[in-house]
Amino acid sequence: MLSLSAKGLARCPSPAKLFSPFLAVGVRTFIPLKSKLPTVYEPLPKKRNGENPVSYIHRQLLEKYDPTGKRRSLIDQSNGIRSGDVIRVTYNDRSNVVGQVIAIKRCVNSVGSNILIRNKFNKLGIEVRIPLFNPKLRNIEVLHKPKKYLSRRKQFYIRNSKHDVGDVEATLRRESKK
Amino acid sequence: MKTICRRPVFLCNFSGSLEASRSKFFGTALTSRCTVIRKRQHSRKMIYLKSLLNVIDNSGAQIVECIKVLRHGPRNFAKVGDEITVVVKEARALNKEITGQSANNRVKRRDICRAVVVRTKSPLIRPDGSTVRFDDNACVLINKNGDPIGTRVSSVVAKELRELNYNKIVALAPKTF
Amino acid sequence: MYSSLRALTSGFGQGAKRICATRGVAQITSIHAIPSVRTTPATLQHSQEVSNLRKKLLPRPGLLGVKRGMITWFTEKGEQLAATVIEIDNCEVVDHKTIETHGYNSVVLGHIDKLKNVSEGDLRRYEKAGVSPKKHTGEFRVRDEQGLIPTGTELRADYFAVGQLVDVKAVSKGKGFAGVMKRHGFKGLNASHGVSKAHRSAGSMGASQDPGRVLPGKKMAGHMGVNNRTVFNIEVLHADADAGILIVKGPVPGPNKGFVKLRDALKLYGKSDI
Repeated sequence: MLSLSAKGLARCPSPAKLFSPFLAVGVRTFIPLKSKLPTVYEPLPKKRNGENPVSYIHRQLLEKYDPTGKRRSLIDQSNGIRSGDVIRVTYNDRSNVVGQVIAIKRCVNSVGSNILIRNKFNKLGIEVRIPLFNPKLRNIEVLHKPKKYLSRRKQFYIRNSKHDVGDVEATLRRESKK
Repeated sequence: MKTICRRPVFLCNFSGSLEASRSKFFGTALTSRCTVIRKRQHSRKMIYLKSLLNVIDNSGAQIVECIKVLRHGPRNFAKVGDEITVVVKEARALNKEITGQSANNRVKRRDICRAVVVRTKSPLIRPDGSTVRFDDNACVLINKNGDPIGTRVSSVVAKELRELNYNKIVALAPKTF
Repeated sequence: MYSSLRALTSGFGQGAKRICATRGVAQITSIHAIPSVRTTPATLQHSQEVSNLRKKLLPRPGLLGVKRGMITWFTEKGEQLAATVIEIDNCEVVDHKTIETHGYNSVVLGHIDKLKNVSEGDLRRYEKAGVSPKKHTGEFRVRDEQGLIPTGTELRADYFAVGQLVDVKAVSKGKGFAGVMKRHGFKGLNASHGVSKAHRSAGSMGASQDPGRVLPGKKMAGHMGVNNRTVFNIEVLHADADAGILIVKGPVPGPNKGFVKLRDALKLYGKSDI
């Protein structure tokens, strides 16, 4: 490397050829920085302590529709209801629907969660999907929990199979007599 | 870049005139427009030409075929509560008359009738977000005034019929869902 | 012209008059017999002033927001609706444009505070307005000077009343190069009956020798999405000023975290001066 650089130096053109206008300027002129930097105003305080607005609004809605936390515990993954349980849903106008849970849709933050229940009347299957946090609902009670559950969390396969539900209310009545 | 203490937040100054402008521009218009009646949500499918339906009354028909959906566009379909025109494909035999219906009122095979859809296999979405799904498509035969031809309805029907003034069918049905 | 004719006829004398008469030309009466007709001066339809008058505008600006996602919403009656959450994040008035300077009145809003990588020109602009630097700015035209909200004012989510109708404008999601079935809703070709590898194609492009070309505006495959889209007249369901959350009914164009512009429903509250 050294030798190469030495060669390079040797081949260097004469000082007259090196002349350029930049070198001609004796002293660099001093460019002063701009006198005043712009003032930056402090931002407004963060809202919701920086929480994601969707999770914030979900939390508020859950507190509104489910102040006691009963419904939330109902669809809890570990302790809540499962596909196979029999529930009764009562509305504010005292009408009710009974059926066996075949699917639970748990939304991410759970305000849109709903339960799909199935029942039979005159050998005709009827399925009702019930939004869990609808203010129209008065109560959801668990009537029966089986000793042995079928496999799968979404039991759509039981429709018109040997695992299908019967008339749920009649079965419950028969069992209570026993 | 230099951060300095913020000036007093300039909020309330304009709010007075904002309120005024709101009441000025939105006063009457709001009240009139915001009580918008929500349309009944449609179920997604599907009773149209050639669909087969069960008949759940004692008019004599057992299975009918849809040949026209009334009061809908040509590519539309019938849902619960819609009137359709049907052809009777299968009828109960006359000699097995256990229903008490007089013979001249009974429908026979190949008869063309009006009917109203009372159950669908596709989920019927209600305004409150719940859906109802039955295991079959079924209808009740009616005359041109909307009254049922038969005297009994043997199985469940959807609640929506009551809102659509099919009160007789709802009253005859053993249960509504 | 009349006077020149008169001069001519008088100059030629009797003979010239006779010629005129034989040719069956109507006798020219005195010019003083024709009443003067005053016509209105032509209006310039293309001028900025007339255009401003014609334009349908709102009395006040809208808001800037960020789409945050969709949720389930229950009304008091128990009806279930799909709703979109829009975050109103420190939306402040940054600047004005007035008729004197720009030819029209508008309010420039900015939202989402940004303290890094701001150019010096922008910094001076925000310094002048007295607000912290913003990530996005958006402009809203207003009908007159009364709608020019002072700079530095924070516009919060309760700027819109619950129950009022708003328009939401945003850039729709990009779909890339899309075929005619997706882009224009064409039906495509048959699935069978000898159709070969053209089940989703457009079919015919037009006639044969006449006109011998594809007419302009023919709907074809191409880039779809990333257009400005406005949804009109959607209802405000909830407005929480302290939390900066606005909830509107139904869907809003664009992806989550997308930048949206909201304004009062133009079709309902907008007015032109003509």
